[in-house]
Order: sequence, then C-alpha cells, then structure tokens
Amino acid sequence: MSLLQALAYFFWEAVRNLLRGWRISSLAVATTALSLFIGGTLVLLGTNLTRAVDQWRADAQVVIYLAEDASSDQLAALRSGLENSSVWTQVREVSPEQAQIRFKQRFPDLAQVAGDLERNPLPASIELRSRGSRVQVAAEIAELVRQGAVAEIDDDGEWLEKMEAAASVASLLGLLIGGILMIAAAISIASVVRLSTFVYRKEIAAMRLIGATEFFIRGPFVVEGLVQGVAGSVVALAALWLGYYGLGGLELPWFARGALLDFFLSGGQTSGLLALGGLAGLVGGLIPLRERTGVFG
Amino acid sequence: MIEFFNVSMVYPGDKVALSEISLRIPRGQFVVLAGKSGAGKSTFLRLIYRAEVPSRGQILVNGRNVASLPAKKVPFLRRTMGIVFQDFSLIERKTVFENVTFLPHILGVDARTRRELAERTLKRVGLLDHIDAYPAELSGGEQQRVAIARAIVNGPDLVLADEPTGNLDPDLSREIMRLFEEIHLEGTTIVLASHDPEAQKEFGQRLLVLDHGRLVADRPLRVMETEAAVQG
Repeated sequence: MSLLQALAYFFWEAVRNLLRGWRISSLAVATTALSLFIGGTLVLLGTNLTRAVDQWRADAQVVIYLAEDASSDQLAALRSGLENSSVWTQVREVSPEQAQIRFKQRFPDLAQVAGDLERNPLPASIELRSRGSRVQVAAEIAELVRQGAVAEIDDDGEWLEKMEAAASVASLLGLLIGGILMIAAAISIASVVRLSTFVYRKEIAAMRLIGATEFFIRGPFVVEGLVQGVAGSVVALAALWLGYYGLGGLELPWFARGALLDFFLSGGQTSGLLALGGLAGLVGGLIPLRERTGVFG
Repeated sequence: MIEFFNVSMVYPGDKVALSEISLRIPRGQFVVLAGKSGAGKSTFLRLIYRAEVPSRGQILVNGRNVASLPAKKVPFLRRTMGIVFQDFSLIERKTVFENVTFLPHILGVDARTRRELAERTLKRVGLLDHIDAYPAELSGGEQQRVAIARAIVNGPDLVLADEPTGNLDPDLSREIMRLFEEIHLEGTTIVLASHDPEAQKEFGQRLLVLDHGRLVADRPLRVMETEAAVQG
C-alpha cells in the first residue's frame, strides 16, 4: 500500500472511530475549539490594537500650549529651537483665535457658550509631529519645558504607549492562555484516543496476529487525534468569524471598533490556528500510543 | 515446513510450558495437536507465529529462525500464515468483507480485487450471503467460518488453529473440521490444537500429544485412534 493509500485508510478509519464515539469526541473537539477561540480572540485583539496604535501613531502630535506671560524673546528662542530640531517633521502655530474657531467646529453644541465668554480662554499653541523615537521626543519635550515659555504639553505618545503595552499584553496573554489551553486540548484529545485504544484493544491484538504492522495499527489513532484537533480549529475559526461579523453589526465606540474590528485574522494567522489545532491533535494522538498501557507497550 | 530443535518455554515463576521439543512438520501435513488444558498446545502454536520467544532452542518456519526474528519483521512472518482462534478474534467494527480482506487491504490490493477475493473465499466457507454483515450479527459457527476465511484469503502455506471448535457445538465443530480438511486437501499445512477427542479421531494425518509441556506421542493419526480416546 502506498503512503497516500495508507493515509486515506487512516483517515477513513479515524472518521469511523470518531463517528462511533461522537459524544466523547465532541468533548475533545469542543475543548480544542474553546482553547483556540480564546487564544484566537486575544490574538485578534492584539493584532487590531497594534494596527490601530500604528494608525493613531501616524496621526499623533505633541501640542505645546504657550504660557500667557511668555516674553517675545522666549517665544523666538522656542520657535528657533523647534525649527532647527531634527526630531520634528511639522511645526504649526495655532493662535488663540484659530483655537476658538476649531473648538466651535468640533463642538458645535458648545459654540454659543464659547462665543458668550468675555475673554477667549484658549491659549496659543504649537502643534508638532515627530519622526523621532520616543526617547528623542521625550528629551525634546523636557528641553522645551525648561525654556519656560511653555504652559503645558500634551503628548499623544504617552497614551499611545499605554495602548501599545495593552496590545502587547493582549498578544502575550493570547500566547500564554492559548498555550495552556492547547495543552489542555492535547490532553483531552489524548484521553479520547486512549479510550479508543482500550475499546479496540482486542481488535488491535487481532490485527497484530493477522500481520498488520504497528504503522497500520497506530496510524488511524494518530489521525483520529489530528482530525479532532483540526475540527476544533475549524469550529474556533467559525466562532471567531461569527463573533467578528456579529460585533461589526453593533453600534460600538470608535476606539472599540478600532481595537477589535478593523481587521480579521490574516491568512497566516488563520493557518497558524489551524496548524495549532492539528498539532494539539497530533500530540494528543501520539501520547496514548507511547504509554505502557498494555495495548501498545 | 516447521522444525523445532530442543525448544523449551519457561514462563516467569518457573512454569514450564514446553520442554525439549524437537520435531519436523513437512509441508502439506495436517497435524492435530492434542493434550489437556495447560499441556502446552497454545504455547506450541504461539511460538510458531512468534507471539512468544522460546526460552531455549530454535524454531524454523520455511527455513527462517522465528526465535531470532526482530520484532519489526514479525508481521511479515504472520502474513505468510493464517491463524484461527477459539474466540474467533474478529474485528467487531468491521464487516465480514472488511475482516476477510483486512490483510489484502493493508497490502495494497485494490478494492475490486479485494471484493473478488472475499467473494471467492466466503463462497468456499459458505458465507457469501453474509458478506456485508457485522460479526455480532452472525452465529458462533459463522464467525469461526469468517475467521477461517480471513486466515486463508491470502493463500498461506500454513494455517495454525488454536482450539477452533472450542466454542462450538459438536455438529458445528465437525463442519469446521471438515473445512480445515478441505483447506488441507488443497496443499496447505495445518497445525490444529484441539482437546476434542472427536476431532482427533476423524481428522488430520498426524497426532502430536503434549503432556505438561513434553511431547509424549507423535504418530500417524489412524494408529493413534484408540490412544487418543484415552488421552482425551
């Protein structure tokens, strides 16, 4: 029998075994699916957060609010320093009047209130975009603060850093929890395969006496584990897909949409989840065949 | 051809199953192996199909020393022989067709040829009508016929049978023994262990009698008829 024929034989034998014991097989498939669903959700979250942070970083800016009592020399020195710095790619001044117009445009409900004030409370500012690293930007900001013409600095990079950390934590948790759950899935699959080998132990002995090699006897059990693992992956991916598009139909805040729903798993990630399920199944299928349970050793 | 050279088998606890057995079974002979329970009949057969390795001595099957055969080669040895057991040892989750053609299947025989093989073999044992049945749907006698069909489907030179009629009533036992005789008449060597005196009287060419692991008699069966009754 060729290898391809052998694999086809293993596959059909495995499917028959699984269908006969579908109740217990379903448990192993469900465990695998749950593991991959949780892991996949965290990976999805991490991926979307990372992509969202990248997008937000491109739009991020540092805003320097100028002190009202800053002297013209201080302001000139500040402007000169900003223009000569290699960290900033864009330097744009916003006068108090421009700031008020922008405020009214962004918050039309409050436009009347802003217009009724005796004095414009919004300070002049300078908006900066950087191309430097976080360390360079932080050093530049510290230098700006020291110059004294600055009342306050608003740095988008600070919260973006927090979001990046959250994305990293989500990805790490995905890997960690997913890893632990995959071990649980492999153990669950191993239990089902072990049970199969016990149920069929007399038949296994008969096969040996007929002249079947261990390859032919063990093969279907390994494939049984593999099929359960892959089936679990498929169920998990289907659940992720349904969840993703289900949430897409809901009204969600922009940041939640960005963090969760901008992208579904990539082809590589989808293949990775399938491969992980298959791997858990393969390991689960192999474990009982290496144990000294009296069936195989 | 099977040859035993000073073969002894001692199980843990110094339980002697076979002691210093030397004999030769030529190709095409129908040998009935007799003796009480625990006499060593099953061990004798298990040594031939290498389910056991002798404690001492050598066993040659068609010139190959099975005692020194590596474990990985054992399946290939078993493929050259058919084995029938008292408990039938059928694969319950497979149909009669799948049971009978299990070995041809793993040897890569195509589906059409397997079907032809199964039909031919099952017709021979009178079970063609049950080709798609599962073992649980068959009587004991029918299941043993399936086991025999499975043993001979590959056309082996040698068929080993360990108490094949042990679970059957006298009429069915006689039918099964006749089947073995038919197989033998086609040139197959048969070594059949049985403690059934009727089987020893009516069937086979040579009777080997074991007692506490020792070969106490080895004679042509017809000469042994009266003695066999005493041994029973």
